[in-house]
Amino acid sequence: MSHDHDHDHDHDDHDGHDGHDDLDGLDRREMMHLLAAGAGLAGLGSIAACMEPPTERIQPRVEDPPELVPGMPLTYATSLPLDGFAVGVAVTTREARPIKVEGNPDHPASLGATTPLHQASVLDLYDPHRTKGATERGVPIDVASLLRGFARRERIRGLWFVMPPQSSPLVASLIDRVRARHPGARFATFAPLDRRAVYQGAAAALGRPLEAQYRFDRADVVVSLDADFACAMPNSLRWAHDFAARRRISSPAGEMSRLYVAEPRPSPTGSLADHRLAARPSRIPAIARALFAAVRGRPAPTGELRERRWINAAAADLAAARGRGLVVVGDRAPAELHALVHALNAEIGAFGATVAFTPPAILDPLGDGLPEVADAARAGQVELLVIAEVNPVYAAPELAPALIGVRDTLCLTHEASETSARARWTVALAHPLEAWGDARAYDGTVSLIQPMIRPLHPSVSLAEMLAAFAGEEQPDAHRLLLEQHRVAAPDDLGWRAALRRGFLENTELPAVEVTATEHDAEPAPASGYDLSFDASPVYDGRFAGNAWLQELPRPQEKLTWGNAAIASPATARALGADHGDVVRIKRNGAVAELPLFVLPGHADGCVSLELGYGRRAGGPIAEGVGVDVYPLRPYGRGFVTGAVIARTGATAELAVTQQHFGQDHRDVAPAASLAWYRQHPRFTDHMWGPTATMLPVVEMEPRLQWAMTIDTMLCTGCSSCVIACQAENNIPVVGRRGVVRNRVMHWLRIDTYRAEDEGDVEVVNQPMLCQHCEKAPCEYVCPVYATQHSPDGLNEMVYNRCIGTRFCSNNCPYKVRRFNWFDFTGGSRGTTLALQHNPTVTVRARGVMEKCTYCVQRIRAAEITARVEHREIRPGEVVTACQQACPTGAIKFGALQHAGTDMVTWREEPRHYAVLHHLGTRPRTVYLAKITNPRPEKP
Amino acid sequence: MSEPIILGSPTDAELGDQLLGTAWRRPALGEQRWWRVAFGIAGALTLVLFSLITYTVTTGIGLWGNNIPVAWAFGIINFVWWIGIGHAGTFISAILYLFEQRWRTSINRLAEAMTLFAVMQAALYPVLHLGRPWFAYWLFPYPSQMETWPQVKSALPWDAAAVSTYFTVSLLFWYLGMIPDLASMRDHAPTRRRRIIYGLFALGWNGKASTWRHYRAAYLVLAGLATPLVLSVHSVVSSDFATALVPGWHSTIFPPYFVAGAIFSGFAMVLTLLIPVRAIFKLHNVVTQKHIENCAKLTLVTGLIVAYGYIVEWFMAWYSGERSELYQAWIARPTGPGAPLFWLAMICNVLVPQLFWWKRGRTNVYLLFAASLLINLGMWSERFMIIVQSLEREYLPSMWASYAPTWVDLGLFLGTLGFFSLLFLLFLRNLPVVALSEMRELRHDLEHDAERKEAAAHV
Repeated sequence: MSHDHDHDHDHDDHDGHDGHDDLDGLDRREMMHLLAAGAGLAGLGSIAACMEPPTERIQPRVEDPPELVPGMPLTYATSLPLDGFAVGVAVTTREARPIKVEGNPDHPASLGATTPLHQASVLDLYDPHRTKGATERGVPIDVASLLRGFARRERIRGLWFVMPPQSSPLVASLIDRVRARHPGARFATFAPLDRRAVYQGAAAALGRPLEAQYRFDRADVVVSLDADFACAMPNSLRWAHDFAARRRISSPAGEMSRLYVAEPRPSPTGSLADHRLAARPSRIPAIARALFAAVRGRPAPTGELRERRWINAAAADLAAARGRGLVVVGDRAPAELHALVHALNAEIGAFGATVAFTPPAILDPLGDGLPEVADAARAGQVELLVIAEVNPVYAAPELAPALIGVRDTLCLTHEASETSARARWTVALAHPLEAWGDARAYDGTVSLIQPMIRPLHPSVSLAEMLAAFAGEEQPDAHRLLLEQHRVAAPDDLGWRAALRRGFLENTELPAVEVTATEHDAEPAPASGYDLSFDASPVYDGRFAGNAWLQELPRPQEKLTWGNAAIASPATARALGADHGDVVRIKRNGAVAELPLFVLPGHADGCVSLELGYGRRAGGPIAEGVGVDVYPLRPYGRGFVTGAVIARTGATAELAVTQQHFGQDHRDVAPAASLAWYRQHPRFTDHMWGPTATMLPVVEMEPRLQWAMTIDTMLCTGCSSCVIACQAENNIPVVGRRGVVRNRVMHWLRIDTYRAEDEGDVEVVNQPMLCQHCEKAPCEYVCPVYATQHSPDGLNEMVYNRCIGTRFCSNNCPYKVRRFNWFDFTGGSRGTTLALQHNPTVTVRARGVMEKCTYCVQRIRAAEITARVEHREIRPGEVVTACQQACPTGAIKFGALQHAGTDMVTWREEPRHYAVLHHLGTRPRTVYLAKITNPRPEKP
Repeated sequence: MSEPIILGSPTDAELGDQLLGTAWRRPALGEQRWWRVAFGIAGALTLVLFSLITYTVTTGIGLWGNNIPVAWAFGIINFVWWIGIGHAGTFISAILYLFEQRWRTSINRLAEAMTLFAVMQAALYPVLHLGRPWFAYWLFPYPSQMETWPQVKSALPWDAAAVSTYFTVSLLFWYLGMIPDLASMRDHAPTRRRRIIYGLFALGWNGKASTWRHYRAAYLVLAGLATPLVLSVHSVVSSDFATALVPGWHSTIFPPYFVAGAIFSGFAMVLTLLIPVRAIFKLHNVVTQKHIENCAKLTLVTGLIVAYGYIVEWFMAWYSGERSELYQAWIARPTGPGAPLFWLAMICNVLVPQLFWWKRGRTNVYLLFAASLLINLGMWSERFMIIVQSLEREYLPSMWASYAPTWVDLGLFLGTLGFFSLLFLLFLRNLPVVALSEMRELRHDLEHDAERKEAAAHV
């Protein structure tokens, strides 16, 4: 919290506006102003004053800069925790503004990749609707004096804290200190997407609540029981990477793993499955039992044919691949199912081979939860309730009345939430990019959180809040963190190295030897419809104020701005309802009305509902989007059964970015099984090679020629690349109306094609971006040369020259061009949002076309660096934003001359193809056909 | 020439009184109720037009229903529709002049006025539909300091050149042809104010033989210049589509198909305008059954060419074996999101003109008037079909989407109809709707012919 202007550190030289030293006659203040203007930030006045680096020592990732060089980006390692699990990221800052989050390649939970939430977090930082400072009963008060007031109190009776699951060593010791000062203080954790069942299951089967550390890179057969391990689980970035490593084949002779998925709703992981079984969540335990039995040689006796085949095939493969098989169960499953799967993994020899167990990174994972708080509140034992970073009034409606009844509530919150509206005091929560702290990764690695920027508004972090309750009148997270890690001085070389790295080395939690006791999962009797609750692009609702996430199409549905009741075509027929018809869902007296979304491949008898919508507070972006389905969900449950659904007769408009999912016999996104590929290695050869032309072939200029290769067999559709592109390239959002009107602006979209074959749905995800055609159809139709070809093979847009005829878009067969129908960026002018803009990318005006540039700004930056250093650009030196974000590494970019790089060798594989090759556009972006690995004899 | 193109044998003075009198006969047009109502509606719609232009230019093209993939829609449909309508005027006044078709004389003034006003509506759209209309001049090869020129590979600079050339030549042709009549107006107008105004526009016409000789030469030259434009303008417009890759656009049949369609719709519009004008001004003696029938015949001929164009499109789609083309022609158009407009186009453009095989169909003015309106509608639908339906179903099924216009789109279209009507009503009110000098000349020629025939019979 203390922002004393301690000038005795390295950042002194770029410490903003209060410097008095002259710089070769040019006044320092004046220079900063010029800089601001150069970055398109003129006129931001008071905001510019916030644009200062933190005064404490923070450590750039790569090297010590002698000083901040205007115009040069600096990258810092830090971590972004979500429900306790930290992922290491590398944040690019420009003139001391964090503008882009990338994965930290050295961090075990990232390996350089990010999720959409990480990519979008930078927008939360600059959210103009964040809470600022503190209030008491709605009246602004001073944050410091509020904290001081609490710091001076001792032995507060009935003191309860509610916070997300924590893994932070700093928070752990602060909790001890608070307990010492306020004996009887209780700490409860609350996460709407609760993982207690995971630990309960582990406790039941393994004797204590352990965390499973999967090794997908060692698994030849993976069975997922409603586990979207490649996308939606705490360690998904790592798992997606490991899974891809065992999955990708570089030639028809290659060996790849086999994936079985049973799940209710087609997930990103399910889109990669070789055998996918649509199963309602209440059926999953029965499937697991049958699988277990089948592994032991008792084939599945009951169930429908498809299910039996799936189970028997999976069991046969698991049995054959002893020690190389792995069964993963989703976090939503009940504890008994987790216990059963542990036993099953033990049975197939997975323990120690494809799965290891460590103590959980989460502190006290089976400790107090929200129900305990509510019980205490009802009993009148809660006198001061501190709710930090969570929104239980919205996300736990059953327990909300008890919590609201507490007289004194202090709410530490990012935005004005449903909970903060009822709190006596509210305090603005510091964003992780502007706070000090630490947290453990999924494997236990202690990851450091360092601020990139001084807090934009008066705010505190959870650690600082706890420190105040521990008696610190001026809590300072930086000092606390140094104390926590026994660092004598900020200049300590080891500490500096750790900050530079982003985490403390060798702090992952050690694996423990376990044996599993056998448990049986009693299948829940199913009645009525199952309701299955999923996280949404806005997670559990806490990111509902983030417009990038609101406008992020869901991987399979392509739905934006709101949620829907997602159901199978058969379910829709049973309901007599069509896609877009509003249905009323009732369960135990709770009712919600949502539009029906018909999704082929979804399990019958089940409706998937996404959490996080229908916010009643949280700012203009969050409020009123979608429908709140928390009331339908009993506390902490991932699915329920026994819902009644009926159509209401009303219809609703679904804001989707893709409406047709068939390929219409066009071979746009080919796929084949491994067996077919081995027999017909050149099955895509009609989609490459020379095309007939009357024109002379233009020789490439003798300089680096840029190109991209995308392997569709690795693409899960997770959409991290979409947001990465949006953040990198200043891409505006268009809002719900804009999406409905087909005006979404994403430069990179993920096309999804589905083929239905006897009830099986086969999916190909195809990231689609400007193909940078060598014979680009957009170029010759532009009347003013606003889109042209660069000598290094880029199809370039000259925004200033564009008059907006849109002829180029009409003539683009890939439809990757986007148009500024209105002044989409004007709204951010003069707000903190403008600070997020990447200064190396033009912010486009109304009336001009735009599209993917292959991140030309990164290419040019690399060229300049190379030239300054008198060398050639190195292979792999230029990485596009989409490539950088991709967890499975499906996107490769580089120069055609850099032989030996993945980008070049991939595109020489026989399964490569160019989309719409027959048009003769000669795209520089080349795809690899999706290969699946079903059991040779169709199960 | 079996049927007469002038009924009776009016003298020069009678013709002058009848044809010039439309501008000043009492009660004046401006005092007639129908004219005032029509003028009021047209004026109101013109105000709507200019309000919506202001709204669009200040706020953005997003006010229209266009999207990705349908980046062109109402703006370009209306542009092509209006410019197509314009074609009949030039066809009648220039091509039929060169071919010495005497029947053109009594309708060429009206048709040319229609051309001019239609081109004015058409020319609004390509500018308005730009994302940044204030830079529309970049389409022209003006000497810029940046030495940037329009790209000649694109059809659009050619489009801009063709349309502006067409407008200029049409205006000159119309005005030049009107100078002798303006002089007559100057000489006969009842008030001094009018005599001065008409006199200014008559450019000091004195009716001398040498003046006539120069006039004739200039008129012939302009007719010669205008003739290729009839073919070139819509050929260039069609290349906006034909040079593109879009399934449904990428077709070599487009230039002749578009020109025929343009003349087809232009003759329909001529009939739409001519039939009421003839009734109101009682022009039956100079605009005879023969004229009406000839217009209907030309409509039929051009309509057949258009139908042939449709057939070729379907055939080529099948013959190409290209799935996207096939889907576009055979599935998307008859069954896709814009299918009702496809069927409307087929009915109005292919079936309706078949009425003109029968004499009844060509002579019953009520039937003709209704048919002409349907053909106008059909040709608008055809442009919708070509432009919007093609874009709705392109190569990648993932990007198939549909289009719906907004109220701004509809308002702008109605606005151009209003503005066109306003200009036409002002034309009716202030200028001779039939070219008097040419009618007099024609009458003399016809008399001369008759005398010669008689003399030959005597010999």
